[in-house]
This record gives sequence, C-alpha cells and structure tokens, in this order.
Amino acid sequence: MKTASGRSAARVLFLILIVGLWEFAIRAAHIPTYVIPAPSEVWNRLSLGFQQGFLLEYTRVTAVEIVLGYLVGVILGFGIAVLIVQYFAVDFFLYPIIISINAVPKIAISPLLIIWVGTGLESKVLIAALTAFFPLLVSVVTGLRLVEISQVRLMRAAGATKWQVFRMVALPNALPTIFGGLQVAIVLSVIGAVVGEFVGASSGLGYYILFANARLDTASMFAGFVLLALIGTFLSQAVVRTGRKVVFWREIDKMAQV
Amino acid sequence: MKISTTSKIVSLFTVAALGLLPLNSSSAAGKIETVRFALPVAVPDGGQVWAYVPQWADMFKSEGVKVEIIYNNGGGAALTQVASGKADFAINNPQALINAVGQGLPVVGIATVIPRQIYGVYVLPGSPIKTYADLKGKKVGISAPTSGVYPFSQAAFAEKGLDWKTDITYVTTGSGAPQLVALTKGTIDAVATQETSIASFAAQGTTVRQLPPTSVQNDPADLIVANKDFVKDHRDLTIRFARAVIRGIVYANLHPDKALDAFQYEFPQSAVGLSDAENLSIIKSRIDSTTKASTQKSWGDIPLAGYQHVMDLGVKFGSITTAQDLTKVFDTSMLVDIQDFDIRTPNIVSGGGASVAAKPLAPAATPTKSEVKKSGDTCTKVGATAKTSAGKTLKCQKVSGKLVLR
Repeated sequence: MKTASGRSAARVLFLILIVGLWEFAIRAAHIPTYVIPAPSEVWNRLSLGFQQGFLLEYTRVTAVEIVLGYLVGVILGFGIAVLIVQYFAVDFFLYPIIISINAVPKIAISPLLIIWVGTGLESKVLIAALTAFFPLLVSVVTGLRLVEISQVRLMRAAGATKWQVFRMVALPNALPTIFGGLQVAIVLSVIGAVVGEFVGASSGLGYYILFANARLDTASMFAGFVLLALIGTFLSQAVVRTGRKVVFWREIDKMAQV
Repeated sequence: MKISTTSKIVSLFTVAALGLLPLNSSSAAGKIETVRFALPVAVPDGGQVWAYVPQWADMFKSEGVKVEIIYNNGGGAALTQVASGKADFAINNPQALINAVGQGLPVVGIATVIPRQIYGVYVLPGSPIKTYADLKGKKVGISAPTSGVYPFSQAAFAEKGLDWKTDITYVTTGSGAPQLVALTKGTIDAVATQETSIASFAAQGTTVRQLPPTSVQNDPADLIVANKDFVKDHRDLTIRFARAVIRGIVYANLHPDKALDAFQYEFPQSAVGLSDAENLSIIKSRIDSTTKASTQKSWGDIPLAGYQHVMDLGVKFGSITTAQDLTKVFDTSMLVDIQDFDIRTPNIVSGGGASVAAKPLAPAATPTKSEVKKSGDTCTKVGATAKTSAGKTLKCQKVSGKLVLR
C-alpha cells in the first residue's frame, strides 16, 4: 500500500467488509430495525430522501450552519486569543472567565440561547460558534506562547515593535498548533449545529434525526448520522489540506509513516 | 371643447385612485396578518394536527392569517416564548398555564384542543401486571420528568391507592426507540406514555396492553394559549387564528386521510420509513384525542369543571404551585366567535366573525374527474405533477421501487 490510490482502495475495501458483516449480523440475528437497522435499510432511506429532495435541503441547511458557526467561532477565538497573549490585563481578567464559561455544557445552555435568539439560523450558528470557539482559542494561545524567547529577544534588539514580533515570529511559529485547533474546531462545529437543531428547528439533519427518532425510524436516524459524518470528514479534510499548504515547512501528518 | 393637459392628468389620477379604492369591506378584511405559533415539540411527530392541517388546508389563509410556526424543546419553552412576546400563541398543558398565571405571566387559555388525557399506562401483552395495584414495587418508564405524563401518572397512581413516591420507581427512558427497547428488554415493567408513542410502537410490530383507565383519563388537557396583551390589542385576529385551529381539528376528525395528506405534504420525510397505513394510525391516534368530549357543547369549549379537577390534583401532587382563579387562567369570551363555522364543512368559511368575508377554499378551476389525483396514486414519470381535489400539488416520486404521487 505504498501509493495513495492503494491506500484509498484498502480503506474502501475495509469499509465494505464492515458493512457486509453488519448486514449479515442483522439478518442472521433477526435484530429489530428500531434497535439497529441493516445497512441496506439505511441506504434505502438515503436514496429515497435524496430522490424526494428533502435530504439535500436538510444537508445544505446543516452545512451552512456548521460553516458559518465555524467561521464566527474561529474569528472570535483567534481575535480574543491574540489579545490574551498580547495584553496582560486581558489574560488576567478575561481568560479565567472564558475557561469557566466553557465548562458549562453547550447542550445545557442551548435552550436559553434559543429563547434569547430564536429558533432560526442565528441560534444554530451561535451554538456552533460557541462550540468551536474554545479549542481554537486554546490552540492559538498555546501556539503563540510556544515561540522561542531567544527569537523574540533578537527581534526586539533589532527594534521590532510588539506587532512586528507577533506577525514575523510568533504567528508563523504558532501555525502548526493553530491548525491542530482548527481541525478540532471544525468537528465540534458539526456537534454544535446539531445540538442547536435538537433544541428547536424546522430543517437540517439534526431536525431530521429527531423526527425519525419520534417515529422509531432508526434507519433514517442512521442516514442522518452518515451524512453528518460525511460533512465532518469533508470539512476536516479541507482544513487539513489547507494546513499542509499554509504550514508547508512542517510535514507533521506524515510522522506516523516514519 | 378642448381638454387641457392638466385636466387629462387629473382625470387619469382620479380614475387610477378610484380603481385602487376598496369597493367593499371585504377588501380591507383581505389583508393577511402574521402570527407566531409556538409548538411544544422540537420536531413534529404527527401529533400536531392543529398546526399542519389548517396550514395545508389553507384554513389559516382563509381567515386572513399567515402563521409562522416555532418549534420548541418542550411546553415550558413554548410558554416562555408567548409570555415574553416572542410568540403570540402556543399549545400547552393546563398545569404549565396555571403555574405561569400564578407567576404573573401575561398568558391565558382561549380554547381547548385536547379535551381528554393523551396519556395512559401500558404493559406488554404477556405481562403479569393486570391492574394498577400490580405496579407496586415496579419500574415505570416516562420520557422525561418535565413531560406532562409525570403529573398524569402521579394522579392516576394516587387514584388507585398507590403512593407514587414510594410504591413506584420512575425511570426516565427518553422517547422513541429507547423507550420501546427498555420495555421489551424488561428494564422497565410498564410505560406511561402518550397515544402517538403507542401507535409508533405498533408500527414497529410491538403491541402493548393498556391498564384500565382511571378517571384522570377524562380530565381535559392541552389548550391554545395566547399572550394577554396580544389578545387585548388584536382580539379579532386572535379569534380568526383560533377558529382556523379548531376548524383544522374538526376537519381532521372528519377526514383523517386528508390529515395524512397534510402531514406528508408539510413533512415529506414522513413518507419514507413508514407506510401510509402506519402513518395514518399514528396521526389518527392523536385525532381521536382531539374529538369533542361529552363535557363540551362545542368544539374548542373549555370545560372549567374538568380543569378545576386538574388544578386540585396538581396542587395535591405538586405539579401546580398554587391554585388560581380559573377566570384569570382562561378567557371563554371569544369561544362563540371561534366556534362560528359549519362543523359539517370546516374547510369552508361560513360565519367568518366580524371582519372576514366568506371565501370557499375550493380552487378557482375545478379539476376534471380524470385529473383529480390523491397521494399514493401511481404515476409514470419522476417529477411529473398532479393536483388533488383540494388543489394541492403532488409530485411523482419513486417509493420502494414504484412510481407514486406524493
């Protein structure tokens, strides 16, 4: 499996094997569909849902919530992290409050957010943003603080301002850590968007999954899970590939192959 | 006589203005007003007939109302929306309404949509539990302690001489498949749940046996709850909205098959996974709960004696904090106008109240017999459309390998 296509083929074959075993086990054990559906039932839901058009719409709605929430969370997380690193007062007063607030599970505060913001797109974006915000904040703060002090001293000795040190030394050094945070944040954005839909929505994959649960249609629930997994994987890969291009000098994802 | 340019312009404007003037009061009444309707569920489950039926059958539209539906995670959230003015109406249970009035929130019940309890206590057919007395020392599953099933079951157990605090162990199972699995695997001995859940269990091949109903079963349940300030400022709109809801309920009772069409039209994903018969059984279980009770003279009536019983039990078991003056909890003054329609043809506006002109729902062009189709009819080309007798558009889709209209 030395080539990329070879590795992909191996992954696909492995997946087919798992799905085949799952289908066989369900049929052999006569497990009721409402407990765990057979892959063929899940495929049936997926194909019918896309044929009738509603699954495409629900996928689109959730994807938009995830991406918008992610962007808002990333921008806020990055901005506040930079302020925390650059200004002692922000670090001293604000950082502990942020950590405390983050300890409250988002699923617990989601009903309140729905009451304050409503059940439209805004609440889902807000919940997704809150979920993505903290890991990104922590990774940016950690990354910026990992810069070698000798490099900073050198820059200062050369007359560099605080922001020049940040832009030319701290930020480039922090990028690998930041991209690690970006990868974690995108997956959490998926969770945040679905949590928002669980609390109150009229469209989206979380709404579709809850609707199916109310009717004991576990196969449709799995169809929703599959689509969420695909969205999460696609977006995560987009972040990874972007990271490879931006942080071109570090091949950290190939360490496992050494 | 030569007519000046000024005169021509004035004449043109006059004619144009006359053309725009309303010729009768019905034009002014034709204005569509938007209301926000908060439902106590995060997603629709077929039980919200008071929303999707009048929506689909254009009853809201015929009353000059456009409805924005807001889904909520439970009755408490829905009531909060109405109390805070973020929604104008909600469907809610009487216990929550009485508590809200007790807290001074500006909410009031204006019409009953479920005149009996939707909950019951059920066991598997082979269970040794035959009566409520057999539940002593057993585990009873409920979806959540915040659900209306909790106060219902407390009252039911108490009526049969059980102390719900010590004789019963409540197990929170969630709703849907987890609840069914808990029952079939024996994690719980009985389940207290609503009728649509039981119909869903049956659709999955599991039938259950209901324990003999208690008198609590006859207590009235959910109502249309309105924001008091909204009612004060928009009384006519309130009447029209509530009338459309009650018309929808009557229509669903008369034509459950149409209620199925409404559900599948508003929620196309409902046509996948369950057959039409299974979907209909779930919807019909809720429709049967909305049927006019013997304690009501007319559809939507608020049976005060029944709600007094609900309040007495609620105060006794703690689901209601303080007893309230029911004249402050319910507003029955609009019921006559709300009920001003022909119950034989609820899909046609007949009385119409103070300001709505009579308007039939039938489409302008009556389809020929060969053109009239219904959901489930076969078709030949994916994507092709057809009309129902009510004028709704169906689309040809592939379902389980066959081409059918949905």
